[in-house]
Amino acid sequence: MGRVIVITSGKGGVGKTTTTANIGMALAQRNRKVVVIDADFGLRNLDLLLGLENRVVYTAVDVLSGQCRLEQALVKDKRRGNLVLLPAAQNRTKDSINPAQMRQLVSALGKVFDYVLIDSPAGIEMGFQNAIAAATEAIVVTTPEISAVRDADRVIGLLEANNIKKSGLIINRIRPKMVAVNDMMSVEDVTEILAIPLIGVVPDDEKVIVSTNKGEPLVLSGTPTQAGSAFENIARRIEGEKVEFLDLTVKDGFLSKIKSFFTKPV
Amino acid sequence: MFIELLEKLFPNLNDRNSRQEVKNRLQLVLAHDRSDLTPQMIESMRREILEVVSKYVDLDADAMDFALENSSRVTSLVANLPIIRVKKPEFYTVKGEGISEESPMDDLPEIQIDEAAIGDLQLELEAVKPTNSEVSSEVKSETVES
Repeated sequence: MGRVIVITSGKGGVGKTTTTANIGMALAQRNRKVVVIDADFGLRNLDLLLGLENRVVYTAVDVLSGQCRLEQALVKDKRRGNLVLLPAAQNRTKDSINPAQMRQLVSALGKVFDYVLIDSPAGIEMGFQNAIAAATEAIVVTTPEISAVRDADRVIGLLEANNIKKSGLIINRIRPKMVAVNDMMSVEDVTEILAIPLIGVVPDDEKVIVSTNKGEPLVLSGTPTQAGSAFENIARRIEGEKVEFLDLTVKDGFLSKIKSFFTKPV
Repeated sequence: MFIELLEKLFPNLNDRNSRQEVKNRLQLVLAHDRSDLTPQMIESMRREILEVVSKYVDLDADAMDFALENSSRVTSLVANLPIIRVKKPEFYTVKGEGISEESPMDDLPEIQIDEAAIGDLQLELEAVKPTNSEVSSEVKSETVES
């Protein structure tokens, strides 16, 4: 049975889907067999971030209703054949599937794949309950903002209550310059508050937007990016490797201080 | 313009530290979120605790502090109740008639001592008087989040 990991956050827009796409691709690049499940029924996006939207024919709901076989609904990535997507239905709501059906799908997929990554919808309602139903591990994504951290805390409580004991924290979109001038919570601040093990720190990176525009996860692009290597490191940590966190401290030399003094608008 | 220039020259003097502010706000809101206590429950708990404590001591209502705190997913109720005075002073001060420093010893009867009976348990028991325990000014109770 492969590892079943749900990627969740509580708050929307903190980077769950981007994280799922990149970790899925990074694990696939390490020659693991990976399936990513879009559990956001009605508002699916994982297909877009992977650039597979034109190849979606059937969805999880079609499998469950017996309109197609599971193999027919799975979309194989052409760049990495060992990464496949199980798309969510776009024309249905989150109530069109229940936790038992999710377990049914995941237990079938777990027999074939090393990793089953479930991209959870925002919120803590039915869609979230479905997404966590079959998972044995969780990755909680947050940003260093008050609302995202509060929602992450709520989700961590719910994960514990649902017997998902192994959770890792990803702090996304950190801006080292703002942390340096005490205008943003640091990685340590957030980790201390949420009190679960940290498995990744992803700096705010404009390249992420470029990569979503192209439907090509950052870890695939040939040129190394800060965010891309952060996701690669997360994949290695998931596999049990000890990897140092990226050094994101701002080099505040005398010259750069003078430079920023003259370039900053007064 | 001039003040902004100064702020840029000495960024550390600028006390607008939003990082500390957001941490404090988060810690407070999470203490409430995690404990699952409604503000009404906290208020009625506060009232009842004060009622009990006020039976014994007068409290300084202005300096009182009653809050939920949080560290590594454990919520604590921390109450700081400064005591102005204890309500039953007779427990702590010696009161009695006819005791004054001037009274000469000659007026009092002689106290007898029996050397053989020293350490006799029966005698000690009679001598025991009720004494009062100390009062703590801090009430602390912990609830672990389920």
